[in-house]
Formats: sequence, structure tokens, C-alpha cells
Amino acid sequence: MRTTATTALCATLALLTGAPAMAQEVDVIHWLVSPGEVRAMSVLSDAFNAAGGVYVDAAVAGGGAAARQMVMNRIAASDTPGAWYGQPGVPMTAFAERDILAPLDQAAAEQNWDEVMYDTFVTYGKYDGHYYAIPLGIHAQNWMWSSRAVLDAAGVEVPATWAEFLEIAPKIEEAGFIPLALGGQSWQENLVFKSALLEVGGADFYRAVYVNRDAEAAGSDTMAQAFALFRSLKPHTNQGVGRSWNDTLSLVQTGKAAFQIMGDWAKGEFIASGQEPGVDYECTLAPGTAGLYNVAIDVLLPGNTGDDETLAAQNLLASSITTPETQLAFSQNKGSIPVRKDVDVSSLDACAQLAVETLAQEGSEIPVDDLVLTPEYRGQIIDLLSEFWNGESMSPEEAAERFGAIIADIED
Amino acid sequence: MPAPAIDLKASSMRPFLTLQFLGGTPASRIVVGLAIAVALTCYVMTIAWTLAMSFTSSTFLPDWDFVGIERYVDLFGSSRWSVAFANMFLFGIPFIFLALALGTFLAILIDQKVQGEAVFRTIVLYPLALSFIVVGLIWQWVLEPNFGLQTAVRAMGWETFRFDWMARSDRVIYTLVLAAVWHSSGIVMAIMLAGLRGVDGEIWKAARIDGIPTWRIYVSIILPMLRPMAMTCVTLLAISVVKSYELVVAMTDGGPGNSSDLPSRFVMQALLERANIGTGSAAAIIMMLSVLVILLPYFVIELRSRRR
Repeated sequence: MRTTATTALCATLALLTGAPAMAQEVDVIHWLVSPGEVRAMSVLSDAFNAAGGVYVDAAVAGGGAAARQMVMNRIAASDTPGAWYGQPGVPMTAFAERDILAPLDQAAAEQNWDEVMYDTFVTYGKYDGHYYAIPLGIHAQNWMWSSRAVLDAAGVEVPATWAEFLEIAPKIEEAGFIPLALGGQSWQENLVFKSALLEVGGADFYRAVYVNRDAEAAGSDTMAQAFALFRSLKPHTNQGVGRSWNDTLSLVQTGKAAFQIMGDWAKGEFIASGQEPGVDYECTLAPGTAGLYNVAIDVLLPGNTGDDETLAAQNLLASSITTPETQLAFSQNKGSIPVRKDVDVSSLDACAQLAVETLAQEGSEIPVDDLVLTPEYRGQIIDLLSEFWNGESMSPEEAAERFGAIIADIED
Repeated sequence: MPAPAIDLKASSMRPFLTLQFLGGTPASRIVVGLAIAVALTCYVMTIAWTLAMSFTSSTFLPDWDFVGIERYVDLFGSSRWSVAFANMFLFGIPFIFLALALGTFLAILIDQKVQGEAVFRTIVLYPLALSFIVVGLIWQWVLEPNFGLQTAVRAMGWETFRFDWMARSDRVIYTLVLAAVWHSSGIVMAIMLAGLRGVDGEIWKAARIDGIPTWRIYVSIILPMLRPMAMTCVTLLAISVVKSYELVVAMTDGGPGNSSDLPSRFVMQALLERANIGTGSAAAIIMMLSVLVILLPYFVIELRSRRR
């Protein structure tokens, strides 16, 4: 009798004191709630549970801002979450510097991250020699999605450069279609601008501006040319206000617009509507960016809760997520590609094949601006692009000068 | 000359210390005083915290690293903030004026003892039952040039019809005015109608006997009597201008570019997306100061007229 009572008491106490007593448990805060994303996340939870962990899903409806706020509140209340969806690079470093993240040395050694991962993750997943991010998959922001029906009707082909685009755009307009669909949200304008910048200046110029933060390059004539090219595209876009990227994509899907520049998460929308690459739509790298991959990496950031059991669980989570099998299954559902170079991707679609082929080329990886700039400075750049794009009064030279001033400001 | 002794009873502070300026009985003063105490603790403390943050270099978490007025310098150097701040007036002034005028006009129409008054009242009040998020979405769909009104009118045969204000950075702010007036003129109507119904019938009779035309009775006699109602409406509308956030987020999300940005959206973005608590707090403080500048004269006038 006495033993039963004690056991009951212990059980009650354990319930009252809550989660930390449970072994191998990690709660994951994220906002991936669309059907394809939910399937992708369940790949992760299945892999972790099969490896002996306990995956606690904490999906936040209401998007990134709501979820980030929840993470901040929990950190401020010293109730750091087990893991949350985020980005490596500068955003990760901001947390790691304050000792908010847990190191993943064990998982990195087990899965040999240094050797098998793409360079962008090896570079930006680390802070001070330790990995602080669990990579889920690679996306890129320099994709162009084209409507096969519109291309055929207008008698044009997918342009390899923006110069070619400017030649064929009038033909598309004459045939009664919108050449370039753009949603009128500033982050979408940023994607178009970056590919214009890559066409004018190439990868080295991009790295000089965004990665090395060379203020002189950022304020140079090359930058002014990029702005001039950016502006010359505007007459061939349609007016759209605050329209989300997927509503904009539907213009391409329904054969009203020829092209859209959007990350490869757009593929999920085509899959959902049952369209096939090469038949209904074309996926190519954005004009001016052939052979380049503007890499964004989905990661989970592991919170430093200060206890060893959670750390072990986080390493188990990291290890089970980065096996070749989980990577492949996650990518199939999310529309990304694996972060490991050694995964057999022959089962993925044509777009993913092109991605992996591109990444196999030396020097093709360029990090997206989110990885190398703080949200504040990145935001200032996007504000500038948007002001330039939506008003007519700013000259390309003035825009370049202001771009240079923003980059120069980062150094102090 | 000996200094005059301080006489607490005659001191000008006394009415404040005993809450006499609130009027009413001692019991009612205690109740109101408590409410004030709670408000002061909650608001003043959060304002003090925000003020402190606005002088720090805080990025994504609060840091107590004071940098003086650097964040305010950043703020006023940012062209985006100037747009957002100017928009508060470009949006607010026409909105308050139009909502007040339209609401009053509707109230007068309904006051004509029309048949089916309840139906009209409901129709006009109905938008108020919708949240600003819904209002924003509805008007986005109506005004979006590719999907909405413009396309619909062109499809009906008027090929040259053009109404693309929402896509024009110099006009977009007025589309927000349109949506907000549609939403808020109902409440103005309800308040003004209550006021009209409270007007003594004798005044109408006297004016009619004098042979004054109806419009003239409204303009010169009735509407001036409704000044307190109008002031209530202006206060309510002014508050909704400063706090409007959902409307702009749902309808234009600040676009095209940031041309329809408002201070509240700037603050929220700085805090939540730009990881910049310092600048966000500085912007919030400026917002609060501008509200004070607008509302203080009103309170002073109100207090003075009450004392008289």
C-alpha cells in the first residue's frame, strides 16, 4: 500500500513539475502549417520518434511574426523552447552570442556534417566553431516559373537573361498576357532586384556587396546599372498591391502571366494544383543567374535549456533529421532539396534535379541576404528598393549612393 | 518682508490631492481614483519602459546599453518613417472630416421619420460590426486593379475606365480613407442620431412658427446643440486613426512599397520583423507624443469649460 502511495505521489509530483523530467523530449515551435509543410514536418517527427525521442509539436498559427514573438517571450521568461524554426547565419549568431542556443557537436560528428553538407550550411550553420542549427532543407530565391501555355501562345521561349526578357516582353503583351507577375510586396521586389543585380554584376559583385559589405561596391556604377535594369522591368509587370506570392503565382498557373520570380517553395502550389514541370509550367533559374544558386536554408535552432538531457535529445533530433533518408523524404514534401551532397535525388522532380546539378558546380552557392545581414539593415535595403521601384523620382545613381550608405553604416 | 507661509488649503494643488476636480461624492471619487491608479500603474510603467528602451541599442532582445538619442536620430533620418508619420495626417484628417460629415448627414436623413428606419440604421451600422481585417480585405478585393472594380467596369464595356489608386503610391492612402469612412460613419450616425432625438420638440415648433427653412434650423440651431456629440465622435475617430494597424495591414500591407505605411505598422515591424526594439520604441514614443499634442488642447478646453 505504502509503495503504491509513494509511486502515486511521485507520479503526481512528476506531472506537477512538468516536462524537464521527461527524457529525450524536444518541443518544436514552427509555423509550417500548409498541407505540404505539415507532411514534411511529420517526416521529421517520425524520424525523431523512431530514433527514441519524443517530438512535441508546437505549431503556431498566424505566421512567422507570431511564432517569433512566442519564442522571444519564452526566452525572456527563461523557458527557452527545445527548438524553433529559423535561419542560420546572422539571425542564428545573434542568439548564439547570447548563449541562447545549444551546440550540436555530437550530431555533427555522428552525421559528419563538415564533409557531407553544402558549403553554405558549413559556413553559416556555425558560430565560434560549433554548429548551432539543425538543417532541414535548401531553398533558393532565384527561380523563375513560366506558364507553358503563355509561352506557346506568344511564341517565345524562357529568357536566359533580363536583356532577352526585355526583347520578348512586348510580344507577350501583344498576345494579351502579363510578361512578369509581381505581387507588389517589397520582399518580392527584392527577389527580382537580386537577379537583376546578378545579371549586371555577377556572383563576385553580389558577394562583395552582401557578404563582404563593401560599401564602395554597393555605391558603384555597377549598382546604378543594376537599379536601371530593375526599373526597366517595371513597365512589363502588372500592378498588384500587397498581393501574396501565391495569389501572384496563380496568374502564371491560370495562364494570365508568363513569368514569376519566386523561391522554389512555389513548386508546392503547382503540385497542389496537379500541374507538371515541362508540361504545364517550366522551372528555370532566374534570368542572369544561370549556374548560381541563391541559397536559403531552413533550420531548427536548438534552445539552450541548460540541462544535459535536453541537449542529448536535441542532438538526437539533429542526427535523425540529417540522415540521407529523412533529408530525401522531407525534401519531397517541402519542395526543397537535401542539405547533404550525398543524397540520391533521382526520385525528385526535374526542378530539384536542376537545383542539384547547379549546386554541384564550383562556386555556385551564394547566400541569401537574410543569412548575411541583420534584419534591420536588410529591411533598410528592401525599403530602398521598394521606394525606388514604386516612385519615379529617385535616379539609379541616387539609389546606388543610398545603397552604399546603408552598407557603410553597418561597419560602425 | 517675511515670506508668506504656505497655506495648504489655499494651495492650487489641493483639488488634485483630494481628487476634488473629479466632482461627485467622496465614494464616487474613490472608485474613479482607483481606476486612475490602475491605469497609471499599467500605462505609465509600460510607457516608462518603452521610453527607457528608446534610449538603448536593443536589437531583438532588450539590452540596457544606453546610447542617448541615437535611435531618434536613426528614426528621423529614415525616409520610411517620414512617409509613415506624414501618412498619419494624410489619412487621419480626411477620414475624421468625412466620417463626421457623412455620419451626421445620414443621421439627419434618418431623423426625417422615414419608413423602415430600422432597416436603414442597420445597413449603415453594419460595417461597424466587421473587424478592420475584414474591412481591409473587402476593400482590397474591390479596389485591386487586376481583380476588382476596375476590371468589372471594363468588362461591362467601359474600356477606358481607370481606378487604380490602390496601385499608385501617391494615391493609395486615400483608398484607406475610403475604407475607414465606410467602416466608421455608422457609429457617427448612431451617436448623432441619439443627439438629434434628444433635441426638445419645442425648439422645432418655435423655429417652424418663425418660418425658418428646415436646412437652416439644422445648420444654425440643431447642429450647434450637438457639439458635445460631435466632440465625442472626433475623439473616437482620432483614437482609431492612431491605433489603425489592422486596416493597413489587411488592405495594402503598407504598399505599394511603403507608401501607405502608418506609424503603428512601422513600430510593429521594427519590433517583430526588423529585430530593432530601440528604434521601434523610439517610434512608439513619437507616436504617443503626437497624440498628446493633438489631445491636450481638447482636454484643456474641456476642463476649462467645465470649471466655468
